[in-house]
Amino acid sequence: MNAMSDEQLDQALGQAMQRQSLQDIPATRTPPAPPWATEAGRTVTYVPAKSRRWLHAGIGVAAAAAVVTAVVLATGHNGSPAPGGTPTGSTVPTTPSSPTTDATGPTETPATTDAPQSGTATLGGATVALPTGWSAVHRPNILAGADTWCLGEGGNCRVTFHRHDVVGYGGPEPEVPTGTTVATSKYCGTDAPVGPVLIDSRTSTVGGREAEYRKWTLDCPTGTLTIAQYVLPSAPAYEIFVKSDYAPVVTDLETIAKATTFPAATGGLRYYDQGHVESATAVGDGYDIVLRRYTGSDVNDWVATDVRTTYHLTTTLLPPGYVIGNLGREVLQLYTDGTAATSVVIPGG
Amino acid sequence: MTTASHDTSPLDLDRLYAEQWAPLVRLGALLVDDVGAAEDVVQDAFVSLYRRQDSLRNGYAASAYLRSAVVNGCRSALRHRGVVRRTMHLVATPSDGADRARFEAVTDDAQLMSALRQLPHQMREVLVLRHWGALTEAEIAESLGIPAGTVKSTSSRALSRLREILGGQS
Repeated sequence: MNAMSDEQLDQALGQAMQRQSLQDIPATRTPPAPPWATEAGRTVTYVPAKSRRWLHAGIGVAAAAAVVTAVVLATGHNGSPAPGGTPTGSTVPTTPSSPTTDATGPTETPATTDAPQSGTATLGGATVALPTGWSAVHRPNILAGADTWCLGEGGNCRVTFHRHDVVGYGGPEPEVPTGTTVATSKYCGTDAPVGPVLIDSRTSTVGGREAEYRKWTLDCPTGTLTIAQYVLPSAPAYEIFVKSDYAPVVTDLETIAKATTFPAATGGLRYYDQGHVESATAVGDGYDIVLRRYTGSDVNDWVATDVRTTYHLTTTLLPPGYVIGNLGREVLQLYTDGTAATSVVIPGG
Repeated sequence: MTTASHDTSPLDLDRLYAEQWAPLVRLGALLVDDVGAAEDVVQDAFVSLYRRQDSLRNGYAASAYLRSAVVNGCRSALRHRGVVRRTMHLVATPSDGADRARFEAVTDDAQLMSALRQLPHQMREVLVLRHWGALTEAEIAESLGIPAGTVKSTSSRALSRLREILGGQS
């Protein structure tokens, strides 16, 4: 096969993909379309589908339609589209740091739909006093489940500002560097020889809200990238993100963080959590567990914190017959809708 | 995948769902090696689309949005599976034993798909969108959020890497 011409390899690859995908997913597998709600402005609650993986295989397809239907019919989440802000004209005399050579987020595209904002901008309900000469350009469709703005001079993405509205799996999860598992090509543009190195990880108060801060470096073939973020993991959730081969870009992150005021948190629980189960008590339809949060660079060297949170896990969130044990070592990742756990990921499970 | 990619008619969710669900799941399955996970990702993408339909002008924009959402969702799914994938050294997880066994009886296909699974994520994404999705470089660039030039160079390097892997297998 290695003797194939480029054209033959192209053709063989395309045919192999077609054969496999058509065999695995025939058109008849498509579930019925859900009854889309038609009311203008109606919001939906995201119901993570992770629990579906625990369902019996025989009802998987039916469950797919049922879950989608439930998603569309459910209401009550504060996930309405972020309002587009309007320029106010006031300008904060903050001086940005030196220009960066590459501060775009990993998935930015030049598409934009709204007029740039300058001065004091309203971004998804948060107020950001932009440095002199900076503007905020709305790029709504960059990241599924998030509204995104590029902050910088002339629409450059020196700092990326996300408001995350889809909760749970695929929602406001930060770009956590997890050893070599982070998609280094996503940041480098090509595969990196080694994984990222966590430089700093802590909680901090930003704009009146508790935020997680992470800073890491990544040695790309073209040079070392510095990547940093603030993440507000509770509703409404936000993320401020920088990535550059110019290490002082972190100054830009700090500048924006200090110039931002976030709306108050509306939910009790974080949208995601991870850590070790310290205790589990059978209660009603499941367990009450106490999760001791772990954060850090890798599942093997997460840094223990003293933050403990009680969650109720219904048995439907767990694999059939799964018993929470191995206390103190059991690692769980949880997703919530702000008030209750809605899905569980057991790494490696 | 290409049927609705140039659709400039008003957004019709039912039609989009009927036309795009299976192709998007196929795309996701090629990226994450797991039909169930791909279905979850596609489901999430449609939920997200439903919530943002007012900001999407037509079927073309919706198709592009769904494609990006699926690619991003697959990246997220892979990140969550990072621990187990790392220990498995990217060995494929059969999604359907019987079907996959029949499929792997086709030796060349199995070798190609095995090699594809060993590529770095971005290379794999580019090849899948190009060879299975039949997307243009511009459309791939839009889907992945990378410059068109990067698509071209990544595709070239991916095919070279694929040859290296295939050479090692033979």
